[in-house]
Amino acid sequence: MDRREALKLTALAAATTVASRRVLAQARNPAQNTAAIDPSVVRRMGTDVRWDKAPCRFCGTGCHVQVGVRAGRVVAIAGDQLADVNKGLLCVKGYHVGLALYGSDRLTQPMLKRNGRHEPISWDEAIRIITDKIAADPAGFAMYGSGQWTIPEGYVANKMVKAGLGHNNIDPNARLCMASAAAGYVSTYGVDEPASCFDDLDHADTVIMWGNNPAEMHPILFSRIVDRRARGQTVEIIDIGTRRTRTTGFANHYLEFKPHTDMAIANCIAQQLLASNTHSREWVERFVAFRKDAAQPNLLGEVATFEEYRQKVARYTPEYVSTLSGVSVEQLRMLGRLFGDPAKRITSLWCMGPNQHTRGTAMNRLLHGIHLLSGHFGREGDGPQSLTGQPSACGTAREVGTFAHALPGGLLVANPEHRHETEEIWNLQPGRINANIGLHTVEMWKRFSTPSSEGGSVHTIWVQVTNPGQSLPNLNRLFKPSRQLADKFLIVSDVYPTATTREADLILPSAMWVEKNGMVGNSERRTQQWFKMVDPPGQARPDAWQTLAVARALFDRAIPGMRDKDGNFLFEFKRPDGTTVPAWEWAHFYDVNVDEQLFEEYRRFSRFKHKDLAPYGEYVRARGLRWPVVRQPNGVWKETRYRFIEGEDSYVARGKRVQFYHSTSRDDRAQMWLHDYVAPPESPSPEYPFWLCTGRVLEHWHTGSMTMRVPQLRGSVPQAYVELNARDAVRLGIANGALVLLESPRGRLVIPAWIDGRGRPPEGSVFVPFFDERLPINDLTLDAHCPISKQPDYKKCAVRVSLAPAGATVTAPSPASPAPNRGG
Amino acid sequence: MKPRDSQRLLYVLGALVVSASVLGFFAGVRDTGRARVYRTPRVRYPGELDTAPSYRDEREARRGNRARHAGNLAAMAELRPALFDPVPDGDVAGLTRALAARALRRAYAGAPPTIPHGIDDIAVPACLTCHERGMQVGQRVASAMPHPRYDSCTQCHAQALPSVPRMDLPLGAAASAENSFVGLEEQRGTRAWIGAPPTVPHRTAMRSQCESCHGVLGAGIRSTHPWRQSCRQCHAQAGTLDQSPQGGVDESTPPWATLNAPGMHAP
Amino acid sequence: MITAGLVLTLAHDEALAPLADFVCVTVGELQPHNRLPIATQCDSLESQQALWDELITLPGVLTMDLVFEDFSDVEDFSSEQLPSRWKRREREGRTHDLTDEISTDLDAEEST
Repeated sequence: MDRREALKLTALAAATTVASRRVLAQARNPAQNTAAIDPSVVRRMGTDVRWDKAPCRFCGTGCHVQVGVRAGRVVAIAGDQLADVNKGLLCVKGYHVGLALYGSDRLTQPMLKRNGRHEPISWDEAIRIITDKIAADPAGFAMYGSGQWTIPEGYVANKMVKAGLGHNNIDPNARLCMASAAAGYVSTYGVDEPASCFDDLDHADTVIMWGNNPAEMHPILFSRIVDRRARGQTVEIIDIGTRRTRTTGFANHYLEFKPHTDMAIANCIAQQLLASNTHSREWVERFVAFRKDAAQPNLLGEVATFEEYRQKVARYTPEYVSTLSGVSVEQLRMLGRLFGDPAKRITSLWCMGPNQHTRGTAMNRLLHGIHLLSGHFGREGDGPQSLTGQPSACGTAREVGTFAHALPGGLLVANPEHRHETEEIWNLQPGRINANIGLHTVEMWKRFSTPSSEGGSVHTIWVQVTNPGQSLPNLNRLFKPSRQLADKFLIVSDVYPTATTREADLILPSAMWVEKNGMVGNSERRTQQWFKMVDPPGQARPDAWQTLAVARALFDRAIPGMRDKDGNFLFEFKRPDGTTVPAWEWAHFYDVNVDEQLFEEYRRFSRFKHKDLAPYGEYVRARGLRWPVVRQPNGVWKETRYRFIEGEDSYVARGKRVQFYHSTSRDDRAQMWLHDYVAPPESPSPEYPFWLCTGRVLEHWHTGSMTMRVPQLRGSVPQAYVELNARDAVRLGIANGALVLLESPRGRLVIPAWIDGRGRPPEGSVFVPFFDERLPINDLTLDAHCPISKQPDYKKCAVRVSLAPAGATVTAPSPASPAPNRGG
Repeated sequence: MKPRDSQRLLYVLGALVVSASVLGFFAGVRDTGRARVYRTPRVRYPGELDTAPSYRDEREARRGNRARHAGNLAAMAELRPALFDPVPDGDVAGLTRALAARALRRAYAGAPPTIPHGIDDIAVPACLTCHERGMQVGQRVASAMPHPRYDSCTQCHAQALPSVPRMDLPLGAAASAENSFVGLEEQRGTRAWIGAPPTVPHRTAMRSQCESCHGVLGAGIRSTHPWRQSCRQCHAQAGTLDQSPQGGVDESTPPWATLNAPGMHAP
Repeated sequence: MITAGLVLTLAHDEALAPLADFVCVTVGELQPHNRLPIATQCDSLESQQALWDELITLPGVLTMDLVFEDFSDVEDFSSEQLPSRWKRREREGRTHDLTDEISTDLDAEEST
């Protein structure tokens, strides 16, 4: 029978099947079909599932999930209805978070690279190797951590480096994601983190998305907004972006601006408020002071006057800004009118757009500024608020102060009083905390990738809970060169093989999420806690234990910094009867709740900057509490929704109404900054005519090391792509799905085109998600960074786009080692 | 009535042919102004699916040269078993199959199902065209949302097969893309005595619209009496499942304490 | 060669006769409710569309439902070539597992 005949018969059979379907059903015996079904599918479960609460492992929203555990394994996830943040709802990552534990290639034993291969070694040997490296030259050791560190993990690492090693070379990957937001808050309010909270989303009349796409990146918060429409409420969404996204589909207004000109748009709003006299006089007279950058931009700047401010913004008329930004004059006037209306409640949300920006701190300041100038601040639904992308970017990076310039509780390395307070709490010799700010992320990796003889002073980096081999910008400059240098040693603690572990000299298998106790802090100052529910696989162990074990080994070698001024080890854990627990020995790590004891010590720092944290036990009962959590006369620990506002914030003096009690001008005023629009460091040119923007997608989280192991998420978006405007595609002869060659001055990448896909960039602009390790877009991105926050700009650089030549393929790096032993 | 007028397309099995939804027919390329982009055939992969229509396509389908489909869509929405059609009680085979079919699209009992067909990747609320009320399309059922109306459907529901363009890629650093997670199974309700109404064996959070799965369109788990509206009048929640918002969280004995039994942490 | 499977609903048996005149139409066995499965094989999408347009205008043919379509022989196929309602993606080799899929589906849903 030839193929045509076969096809014809198939077609006829299909048609017959349909035409006769009633008959067919009667002819079959249902019992026969049942036999083929696996009876386990309908097995009764009974009462053997134990449910417990935990914040989701992924983003900075901080949803609480309920985790169902049976026989030592996570078997189900449910949204936690008691959680204020998500009110029982989760996103697709959250519903599948339990699967992230069970990728079949979990790292289960320490491995050392010998002769180009990763070979299993014991934990004792691994700890000894790390200790050797540090002891040989403590100054050349650096730690690169994460906004995914739990609070106790970050605290241990921070104390080990800053107290134990006497330098400040520790920085988290949060440098790459919200350093600009932190710098914006500190230089505006004198203290970090949002004054408002997610409650705004339930009350705002208008929500403005400044260059972010919460429909995909913060889906729960986005639903909190759009679900109000389903309930019959009106909420206006204004999407100010550089490409159309799923968020745009829900927006009332879409303002498409030329990359980097968001600064001019913010100034344009201020110009209109002043020109039309619709700014808030009360705020200008009572609550606001003015600042401008010093010759060398820094956090504090110089005093300026209202008159200077007025003159500075005067040129940013809608007409001028329209030519600069490409946004229509009418749309700019719409924004001006909106902020000029005191009755409207306006919430500004932003995330990586203004943060990953070579003028990120300035852009953050300007966003606060337009809210302060118009008085849209401090009411429910009325205020500026940045979002974070990691579960504890706020909790661990910003509050525990794991930045190179920071100390716990919002204290600063550069401030002598702050160093003194830290030495007091840690019981250190006076002067032990190094007054020099440590190496920020870009500088740390630059020095690691520079030969020691040429000033590359960092010889060993210990990476925990992050994947810099994929997520650093300009990998060809910051990451790859170090792997060719014999005296550079890379230690990586992780749960799965990644682009970083592949290049690591020493791999340490970590416990993740509910395989250990943990605490994190979300974007709205909410500190959250969970308990260990299942055992980690093989020899995987918590990062906090790993750091403790190394610190203790250094103590045993008599490294002086590991002792406090009384000669005791920096980390002491006590049983209820007062005896000491050697928690650095794995067999004793769970003899006490190490998290609780570390947290209670850390908590003492929180009072300096009025970031008061409650005792550990309060967090066990709550679905997170927003700091400052202040004990009331009746003994109740009360969280704070709106800081600096009388009646909400316990630290605002009676009768003040609004009091910025950490004001850098020391007069209870917030600082409004003057910033001119500055052109980006790299713009499209005839040689590289396209803008490249990078980012995330809904299904994948960061570098995909967890979500790419979840079948439902990987199945939905199995690989990266480049979004291309249809007109550009026509012009360049690129079909949907065709392979495209992207080239920047720094690197190149072959990647398939997606036209009219999920995001739609304007002409002259392309977008590539960064989750796919095999299509490393960060080979192309720019490492230029904000002069104040040191946060690089992943959102814009210039590229060339062309149809890839026939036969072009991606040269994905081959693994440096065989697949790790799964059995452990 | 002219024959042409009565011509109706049963999308149904046409859709089955590509295992996509009926709406797949509207799929693909839309804006003729950009037609040249698509002239070169793109690489296609096994299992690749159709795309559901955007609202714009829907509008276009109601007017223009595709108008006849619109009538069908509306007509199909009415095509569903009658409320009073008899349903056999105790159809174990049907229930078994229905639960197996559910398990195919869910990571565990209670997980949001994946989307078994292509979608418009940017105009997400188009899903509600079929899934707001539910629709039977031949033998396929587009179930109604069992939860209150949410518009951002893809927040929770991922596509089972992607619309992302693909190329052949190695695994990268990963040794495998496999996952050994074993999800919680759907459970059975119990009856106090033969003939008693069965208990509700699952949480009702996000599954509060009983008729979505147990109404006339619910194959295998269909109620024998879908016309009755107040389900919880007779069907109590199973005692084996703590359905309170607390969800059985026991705060008195921290799991880390009990998990620390000897042998649990052999170094 | 493009192969399609369709179901015609006929008003009466006499409508069967004219179908024999079409060489590219294979007629299956008449099913209850006057449903007639047929297969069509055409050289191009255009001729297929022309054929279908003719079939539906035959006296006694009430409805025509498409249940199967195979495009695997169309070279350089682009969805642009299709009449708008057939726009969709297809792939070679897809056809053979379809029957299974259909019957599985029926298995799952018919028995209730």
